[in-house]
Amino acid sequence: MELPRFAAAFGFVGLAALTFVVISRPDERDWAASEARRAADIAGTPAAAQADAPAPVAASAPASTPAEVAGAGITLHSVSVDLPDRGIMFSGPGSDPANSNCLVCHSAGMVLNQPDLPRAAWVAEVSKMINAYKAPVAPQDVGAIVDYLVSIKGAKKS
Amino acid sequence: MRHYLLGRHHLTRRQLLGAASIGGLALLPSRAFADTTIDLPLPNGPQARPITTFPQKGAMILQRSRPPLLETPFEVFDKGVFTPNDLFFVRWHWAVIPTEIDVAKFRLAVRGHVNQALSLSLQDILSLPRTEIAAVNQCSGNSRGFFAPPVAGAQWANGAMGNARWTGVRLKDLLDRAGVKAGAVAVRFTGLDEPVVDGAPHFKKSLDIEHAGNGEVMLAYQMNGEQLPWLNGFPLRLIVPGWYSTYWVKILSDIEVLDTPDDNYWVKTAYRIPDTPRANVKPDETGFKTVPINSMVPRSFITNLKDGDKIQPGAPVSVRGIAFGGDCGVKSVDLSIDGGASWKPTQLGPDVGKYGFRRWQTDITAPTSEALKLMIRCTNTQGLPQPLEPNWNANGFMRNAIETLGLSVA
Repeated sequence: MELPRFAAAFGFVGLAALTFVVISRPDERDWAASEARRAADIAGTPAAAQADAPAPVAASAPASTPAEVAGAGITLHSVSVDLPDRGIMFSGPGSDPANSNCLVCHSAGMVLNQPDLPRAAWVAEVSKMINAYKAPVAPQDVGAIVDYLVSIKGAKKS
Repeated sequence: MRHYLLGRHHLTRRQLLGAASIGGLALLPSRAFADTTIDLPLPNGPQARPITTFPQKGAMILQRSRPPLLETPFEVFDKGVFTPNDLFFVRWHWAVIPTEIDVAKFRLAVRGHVNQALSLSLQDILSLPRTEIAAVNQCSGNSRGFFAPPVAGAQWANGAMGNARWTGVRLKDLLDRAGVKAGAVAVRFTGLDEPVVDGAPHFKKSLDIEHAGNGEVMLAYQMNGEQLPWLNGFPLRLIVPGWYSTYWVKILSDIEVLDTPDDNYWVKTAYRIPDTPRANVKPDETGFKTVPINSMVPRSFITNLKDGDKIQPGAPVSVRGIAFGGDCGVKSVDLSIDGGASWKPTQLGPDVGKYGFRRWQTDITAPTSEALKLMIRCTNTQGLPQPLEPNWNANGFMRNAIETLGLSVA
């Protein structure tokens, strides 16, 4: 799954579009295709080896499927949702790198509800985002993001 | 119990309205987005939170909308021993969550170090021997907002927890059906949520093989008698009674039996606690070993009074709330009104199961003057009490100190 880097250059509009794309792509969220991949992963065993199990679903266009399944007195109904996104952005001086990097994976509430933390803690958080969570932050933006976070949520040294 | 916005109603509404709206704001009922805010009693950091509704959810405390972090308003815990599905807290790690679940196409894989890999439909799973258990689901970081000095992470007050009746199938039965091979050491669980960015660690958790097959760990397709809310892991999630919620993988789709220990990020690096009593260390302490977070510890809360409430001098006051033993039942819940010098046992409510909430209540008489400080302490059936002083660790996990509440006498 490629992350279009042009989205960062277009700012909010690009982010909104990207958000829509990554959250609401019906083709990527196609059950049958994912399941077919998983079925292929099952130790490379062909369907014949899974004598008791139903055959994995093939990645073909589905015929009209029921919206519910039932068994032993319980019925489960298919679900479809739209998730709200308030579109809150970081603001003030130095907020641009935070807006173009941090909001790719999570909304601003993650940051805005944090307590004030020392600079070292913010450095650690940004490093975790990049190293553990693979945030695609341009090297020249790292310092600016830390500076912005310290400016809005920096604890004074005691 | 409220039962609005169940899955079936949601699908019908979406079909009627079509795919017209992207943001979804126009689709929500008029009572949604009231845009009120409440203040959480957090000592550090922002206290104001919007009250909002999300699909299938009532009025929840919004911490983050993408991926959702929704907290249960604390007054909900005063209303009953089970937490309603539409007010149950919500916590996701990654933002790519499938927004359409077709129950006919969903498959659960059981594979890895087994004799025979399985691919089960929901119909298969519904037809397997059914089990049910009441169990508290609590975020590892519930109450993190109270840590001092403060730590980074989801800034919950005490509402990242809930008690539900979980109905489904025993994991043991699925493992027996696949046939676990000799040499299996662990079982790893994966759901259908995915990271936004390529290469980020897909959320996976694992349990030791003995724990996985203990007959209590189960997969739930119902919560409080209804299918799981989409935001709480529809159609299937893992239930690990007595253990923190990080293990309760949502939209569970893949069960992999391992013959070597799991070293994925979410076990090896994330969700680890100091290997010290109560996972407690000093803020600048180093050099201690860590282990994966595991069993919960006892907690108790007053639910019918808030800090700062006024009571009349000399008046009788009814005090009540909830408690849970952590990874076993509640032995006693005791109240102190003299700063912890003495403790009086409260009356416990009906027992819905050792892993569930337990209601408690007692009556006191307000003093004629002075403020009144209430302290509430649970001791579990293993004899472990709540500690007086809160623990601290850098991840903000496992808080369970005795809760205190101040009342003013006027």
